Parts: sequence; structure tokens; C-alpha cells
Amino acid sequence: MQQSNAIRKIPLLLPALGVMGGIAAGYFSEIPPVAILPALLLAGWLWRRKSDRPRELIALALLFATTAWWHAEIWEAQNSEHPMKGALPLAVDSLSGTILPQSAAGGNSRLLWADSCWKAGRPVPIGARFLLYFPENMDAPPAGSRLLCRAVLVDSLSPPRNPGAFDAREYYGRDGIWGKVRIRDVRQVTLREGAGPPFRPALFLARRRQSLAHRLERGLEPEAAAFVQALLLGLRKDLDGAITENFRRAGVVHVLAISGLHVGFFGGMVYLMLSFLGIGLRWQSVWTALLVWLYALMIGTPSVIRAALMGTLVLVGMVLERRGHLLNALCAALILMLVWQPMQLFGAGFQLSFAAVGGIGYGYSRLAGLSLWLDDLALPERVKKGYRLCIGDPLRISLATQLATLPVLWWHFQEISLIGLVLNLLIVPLTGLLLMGSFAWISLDALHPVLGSGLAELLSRVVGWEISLVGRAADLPGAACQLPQLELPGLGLLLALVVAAFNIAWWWRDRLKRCLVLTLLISFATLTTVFDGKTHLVMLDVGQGDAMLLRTRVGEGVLIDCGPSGPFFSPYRQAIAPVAKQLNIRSLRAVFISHLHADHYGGLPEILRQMTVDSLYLPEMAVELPALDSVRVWCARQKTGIRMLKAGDIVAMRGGERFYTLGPVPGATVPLDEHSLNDGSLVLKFVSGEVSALLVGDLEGPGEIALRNWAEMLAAPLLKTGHHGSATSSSPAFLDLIRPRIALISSGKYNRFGHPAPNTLNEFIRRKCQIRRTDRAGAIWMTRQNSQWREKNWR
Amino acid sequence: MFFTDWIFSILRGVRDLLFPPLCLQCQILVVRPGSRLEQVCPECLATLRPMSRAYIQRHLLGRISPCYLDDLWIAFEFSELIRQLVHCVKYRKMGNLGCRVGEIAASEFAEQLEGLGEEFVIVPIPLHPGRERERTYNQSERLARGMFAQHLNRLRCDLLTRGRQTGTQTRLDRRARIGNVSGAFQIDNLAVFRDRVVLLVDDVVTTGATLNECARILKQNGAGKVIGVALASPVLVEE
Repeated sequence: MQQSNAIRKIPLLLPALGVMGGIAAGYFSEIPPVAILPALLLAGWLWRRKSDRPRELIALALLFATTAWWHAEIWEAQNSEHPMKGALPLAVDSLSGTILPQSAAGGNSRLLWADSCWKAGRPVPIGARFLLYFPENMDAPPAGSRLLCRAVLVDSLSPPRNPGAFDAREYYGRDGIWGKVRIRDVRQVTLREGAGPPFRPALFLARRRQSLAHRLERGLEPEAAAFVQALLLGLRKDLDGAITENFRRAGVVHVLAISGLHVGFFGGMVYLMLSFLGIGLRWQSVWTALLVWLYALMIGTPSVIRAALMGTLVLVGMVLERRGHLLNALCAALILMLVWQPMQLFGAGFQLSFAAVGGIGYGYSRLAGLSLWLDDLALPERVKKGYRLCIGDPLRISLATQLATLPVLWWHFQEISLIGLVLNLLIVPLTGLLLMGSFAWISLDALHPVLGSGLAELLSRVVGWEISLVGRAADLPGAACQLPQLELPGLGLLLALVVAAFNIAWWWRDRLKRCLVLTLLISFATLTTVFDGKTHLVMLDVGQGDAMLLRTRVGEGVLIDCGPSGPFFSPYRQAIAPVAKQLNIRSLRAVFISHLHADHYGGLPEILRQMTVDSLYLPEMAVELPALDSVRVWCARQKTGIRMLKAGDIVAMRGGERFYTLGPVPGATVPLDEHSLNDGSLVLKFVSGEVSALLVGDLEGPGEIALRNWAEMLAAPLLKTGHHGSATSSSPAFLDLIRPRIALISSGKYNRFGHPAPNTLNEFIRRKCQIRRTDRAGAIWMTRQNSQWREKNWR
Repeated sequence: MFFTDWIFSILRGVRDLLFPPLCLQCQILVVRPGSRLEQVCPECLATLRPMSRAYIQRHLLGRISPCYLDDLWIAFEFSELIRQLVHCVKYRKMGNLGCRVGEIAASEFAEQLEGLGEEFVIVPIPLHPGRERERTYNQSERLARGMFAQHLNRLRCDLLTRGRQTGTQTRLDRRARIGNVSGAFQIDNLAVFRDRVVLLVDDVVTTGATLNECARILKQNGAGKVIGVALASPVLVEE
């Protein structure tokens, strides 16, 4: 009965589920769409007798699911079959197009609509959107400019090189963008003069957005201007990254992402102002909807579009004199948006937005029990009412959204904020005030700059308060909580737990249900916290350089080399942090630096800053290098101990796994000057039960000869090939001693040294040893299974 | 014509999907086509109890002194459903619902209306202009439109105006209510109702203070007979 009641109140629930299921099925499976029909018919037959009405709805859901499936397939097909796509990467002579108003993610990049392209005097069929990267020293041209780029390389968007890193191909692929163009020099680009681009609504809105941003910059103090730009216009480029990070840690970053809160305030203010004009309910609604849509299209993110759709439905409901259910409006918005772009379903922003509002719609009334304790207290009625209005009800909303977004946050970001629950009660009203103040300021300033000056002062003050408040909250211990990676069964259990939490009054009623909840909780806890007891070894892709992350059987993290650091590449952010997150490594038990060359220790300062490192191990050196001094300074700053290793030393891990040091050999390869650093590399043999791995740093010919005394220790099934696979290392005699079955080679794509050398590769091939190269496949993830190494496919 | 009907039926279906027509009272039964109200199912509508004439005489008219009302017509006893309906009309901008509710109430005093003859004017209790702009309509006027759908030409909204904002009556006792509304209304147009019957329309009558105040002003300015008309009144005294 309860079920059918929900279906009556929210008739669009089944169709919405149908659409989501259809898209997911179309995206993930190879089964032809027709196959869904019998399954859904069966479901419909089972539903049939539950009540008198849902039969039509089931038919509708079925129809929607099938259409959505096809839709997803067609959408995929459209975006995969461009004549140019197969030919990438393609160097072209010229490419011209228009900068699109939609914003691209981060960096100095824009979206380009390319309309003509020439190669060797012939046109190349084009007509697609590309991600256009500008050099750092160039101001990206504004939306709507026409430009001509000469001699550029059109490349496809690359999948992530390391597990867990940002996946540009998937992220932009959801919008149907599959190519990128990188401009290296300002001289490659000419802005085309012309009669100006034709009037396009999106362009018009982008210009309004820019001019509003300029107005804010002129009228407000820089910090306040940057903040209000983010708050009002969704432009976060001027906002200090640390502020965004604080908001994220404190769990209130949603006020910076324009969503229902902002659209609601905007729409409410417009509606209120129009009501003074006395133009009647209908016109008032029409104008409000129109202005809300202008605002929403100017911003253009999924959550704003969702908010605008739902706001429009509220207005339509008012005109039709029907009271709609919040969840029904949400389902309608979901269906419409997915019909527009099915792949949005897999975006984190889309999911968060819908989960938050769904949580309010589903959980707000269910959490009413939170204020029940108040009834027994002997307090005056006015106090109770005040408590409900100011604390009780906002707390319910906050809790409902936090609970509902928990699975999404955990799945995508592995981090939740604990302080957010309480902080939202302060920040949301404060942000509301700021929003109203900013809207008022913009209208006053448009009339005359003098009128708004007092308000500008006040706005800057309030922005300052909000930022410092959030900053303090983010600094509290335990503000944000790191979570382990979630697998699919874990996600299922978590969803069940969230539903149980919303209905805790019902779930806690008798012993059986209580047992069920506890079982769920315990199984979820064990699933997420217990280590798999395997040893993982990930050869990271850090370009031309070395970095390897290792997780021991009991979960200790060890890093061997830190990769090169450059202006466009941070080994910590782009490789180590994502993989550490995947492996549940929070701190490093040990960092080994094989030798002090920039491609092996370049990322060290950032790693020491960002992660707790117990001790740092370096090879013994008989020479004082400036690099060694700076390493000492970095370690002293973070209170990390340094130990110099030479052949014969052993570093033991907690679970019984050991690192045996085989080099540098005292008296033979301990470096005496800067030129012998490679041969003085730290040579480590990692032994875990019956399996082992030999990590030889940048060892070259002379070093290899010096190691021959260790013949019986050198044998290992897994070898980190010396010196990125160069011709000067991995001599046949040395390989004969090791007898590797898998060789890992870490070298950069198109590196200028020509690593790995063909001769070296031939040596491995001749020995029937498998070669895994980071320049071909990105990071290589090996796990120890019983008595051998297995490669894990992380893509 | 078949084609346009078809289109409209589809549009109605879409509307019902977006905003399912649920009964205000029971929340479960979907209101079926052909119901008298879009918002209330026939079963719930049947629970409305007509107000008895005797009760009105004894407990409402009988307790107002001095009484300027010559008669009081009340359609229903106040109930949870009435509360919700009035709430929707007053605060949820459902103006058309006001008309429909008025039509349902009209059947309750059809007889009395027959006996009234031709010479009467219908005057809804006015709202303060500011409040009316905020609500975009006057709920009493909407009710009156439904109740006297055949006599819309006699509906005069410009006769009586509310001069000052009076606070809500809901939390006041009888004496305070009389004080709250006294002097709040003004007459704008004298000639229209001289010696005629005036039907004063309000939504819910509790003590009758508002109606009585309006009746006083009308009588002082020469109205022949003033009859109060309301949708409902709470039954506070058990017979």
C-alpha cells in the first residue's frame, strides 16, 4: 500500500528509473536494446496487482527505458564516428574556428568549434568541438572570436596515465568532445577580423556574464570580487585555490557551485519584485521563469539547469493550481536532462545535484523524529518554535543532503566533510544574505556607481567573515575525513545503509530488523576497511623518470623514487596522490631515492610537504652534493629521518617483507663524484614471501659488473629495468644472473634520449621476458598473488 | 475537432503526470475525471456537513450584540478539509479553486437565494490593497464569484474598502476581534445599495465580528438589509 501511494504521488519515479537504467544499460552492455523488453515486461507483470493505477506508468517506464537505451547507443555512436577520429594524431597546416562560450575545465584552455582545416593544400573534413590549450603567457581570446591556428597537432584526448587520475577522455567525452589542440607559441595564432560572429544566444549570455564579472571587479575589493564572481556567476578563475580547498574540506563547497540555492534566491527575488508591479499571477510567473532561464543558461552547469527546470515546474504548478511533489518535479527534471545529454548520468556534478535534492525530498519528512525530544521539555512554545525554525529544520535539511550525497562523494572523491553538517547551518543563510546583497548591489551599481558604494563595503566585509569562518572550520582537526576506495558491492551496501538511516525509526523497530541493520553495517565496515592482504607494486607513469609506489601486505606505503617535477607536471598531484588513494595509503613508511638525479628525486619536496614520511633512504655517497644539502633541509623541515644505505643493509617492513640493499657496494660503486651517480644507484631487492622484485635504479655497465658478487641474490622474477632501458645498462651477463620474467621500463613518451634502446629490448625478447613500458601503457600495476606477480588491468 | 480533443487529452495527461491530482484530504486517491473539484475526491467531499439553521441562529447571530446582520447563511461546518481548502485559496494562490468551492457552497443556499427577489448587491469583504496585490486576488471575491455565478452582474467590489491593515484574527478572543476590526472599513459608493439587500461574503466566520462591522457601516449608510454569507463556521458548542 505504501508503495503504490508513493507511485501515485510521484508518478514520474518509475519512468525516471527507466531512463537511468536504460542509459546505464546502453552504456555498459553489449546486449541489443530489445533484450530489455522481456525483462521489463516481467517486472511489469509482477507490479500489476499491487494497485489499480501503475500499469500505465509501468508501460511508460518501459517505453522510456527502451528509448533511453537506444538514445545512449546512438549518442555513443554519433560521438565515436567522426571521419577524423581514426586519423589522430594528425598534424595539420591550418585550423580555423570560433571560440565557444562554454567554459573548459581549468588551465588556460577554451572550447573551439573548428569549421575548416587544411593539410597539404587539401581540406580535411572537420566540424567538431576541440579542447584548445593556450600557452601560459597568452591571454585566451574571449568567446566568439574567430581565430586561425597554423601548424598544429590535433590529438585525441588521452586516457589517464595513472590509476585514479583525472580522465579527460571520459570527462569531455560525456559532452561529445574527443580532440584537443595544443598551441605552443603565440605566433601560431591569428585572430581573424571580420564582421563579428552572428548573434547567438549563448554568445550573448557569455558576454553579459563577462561584463557582470568586470562590473564586480571594478566595484568590489579584489578578494570580495573574486568570491562574488564565483558565487553569482560561477567564475572561479580569480578565486584563490586555497579558499576553494577550505570550502571543500569544510563541506560547504556547494555554495560556490551554483545550484538550487542560488537559482532559488534569484527566482524568489525576481518574483517578489514583480509582485509589486501587480501584473497578475500568470505574467509574474512567465517573467520569473524567463529571467531564471536567462540566468541558468548564462551559467550552464547541470545543477543550475536542474534548478531552473524544477523552478519552472513550481511556477507551472502554481499557474495550473496543482500542488506537485518535490520528487516528482525532480524526476521530470532528470528525464528531460538525460534526454538532452544521456552521458551526464555518469558525471559527479550531476549525481551530486540530484542526490542532494532527492535526499531533501525523500528524507526531510522522515527525519522529523530529530526534533521529537523537544516535545517533552517544559519550554515556552515560542522557544520551541524558534528552535525548529532556526536549528531543527535546517539541521534536517543539512542531514538529509549529507546522507544522500555520501555515496556519491565516497564513490568519486573518497573524502567527506564531518564539520559540514553544522557549518551549513551558518554558511547557507550567510550565503543567502550575500546573494541578495550582490543582486541588489548590481542593480544599484547599474543605476549609478555612487548608490552601491556603501553596500559594496558591507559585501566585502561579509565575504571576509565567510571566508575566515570557513578557513577556521577547515583547520579544525577531523574536519574532512579520508575514506578508502569503494567497490561496487560496498556501494550497494552503503546505499542500503543510507536508506536504513533515513527510515531508522522503522528499521530499528524489532529485533529482526535491528539485526539486519547491524549485519549491513558490519559487512560494510569489513568490506571497506580490511586490506586484501596482497602486495601491490605500481610503476607510475611520470614521463621520463622513475617513481614506484608499493603497498606491503599489511598496508604500509613505500615510495621508490619520486619522478621529475616540472612546470606542467607534478608527480605528487598527477600520479602519486591518485594511486595512493586507490591503494588506501595515507602515509609513507619509507621513501627510497635511488640516486640524486632530478628525474628520480624531483617530486620529493612536494611529497614531503603533502604526506607524512617516516624515513628517507639514500644511497651512500662519498661526495657532498648541493642536491644532498637541499634534501637534508627539506627533511629537517618535516622532521623526516634520513638514512644512507650501502650493500648489505636490510630495511624490514612490518608484515615481514624486506628490502635487501645490494648496491652501492662500498669500495666499488659508492660515488666519488657527480658523474658516477648512476652507477652508485641504490639497488634494492624486495622480497615478499616466495616472490621478489629487483629494483636497480639507473645502474649502468660498471655498476652491473660490481654487483656480480651477489649472483644468488640477484635472481628475481620482476625487474625494474636499469636507466629507463638504455643501451648502456641491462647487459646480457647481468640479465643472465637475474633471469627476469617481467621487465618494467619507465620512460617518457617520445623522450629525446631514445629510451628504451632497441638492443636492450631485443635482449629481453630473446629471453622470453615480458616487457611492460610506461610510455606505451601508462602506469603498470602488479600484484602479488600466491607465488607470482600478476598484472592488474586498472583501466 | 477530434484531433484537437486528442491533443488536449495528451496535454492533460502530461499535466497529470507532472502534477498528479491527489486529494487534499486523503492524499491517496487520485481524483478521477468528472469530480466536482480537481483537488478533492468525491468521498472526501461527501464528508462536508451542512450547517444547521438553528445553530446559526442560536450560537452565532444570538451572541453578537448589537447585531447589524439580518441573517447569516453558512454553507458547511468547519473541518480539516475546509481548513486546507481555505489555506490553498488564501496562501497558495489557487484562485480558481476558490470559485469551484464557492459553486459547491452555492447549492447549500439555493433556496434562500430564490426567496430574495431581484433587488440585491453582492459585496465581498475587502482585503487591504497591499495585501490584495500580494495575493493577486481577494479570496472572498473568488468565493462570491462561485456562489453567485448567475448573478455576477450584481457583484460589486468597489463599494467597501479596507482602510487599514488589520492583523490576523485567528489568535484573538471575541472582544479583541471586535476591537481589531472596528473602523477598518469605509464606504466608497453610497448610491448603489440604498434600501437594497446586501449580501456580504466572507470565507470563514468564527465570531462574526468582521461581518458585523461591515454590516454596521452599511446600515449606517442606508442599506436596507444586510445578509452575511460564508463558506464555513466552526461548531464550538455541541447541541
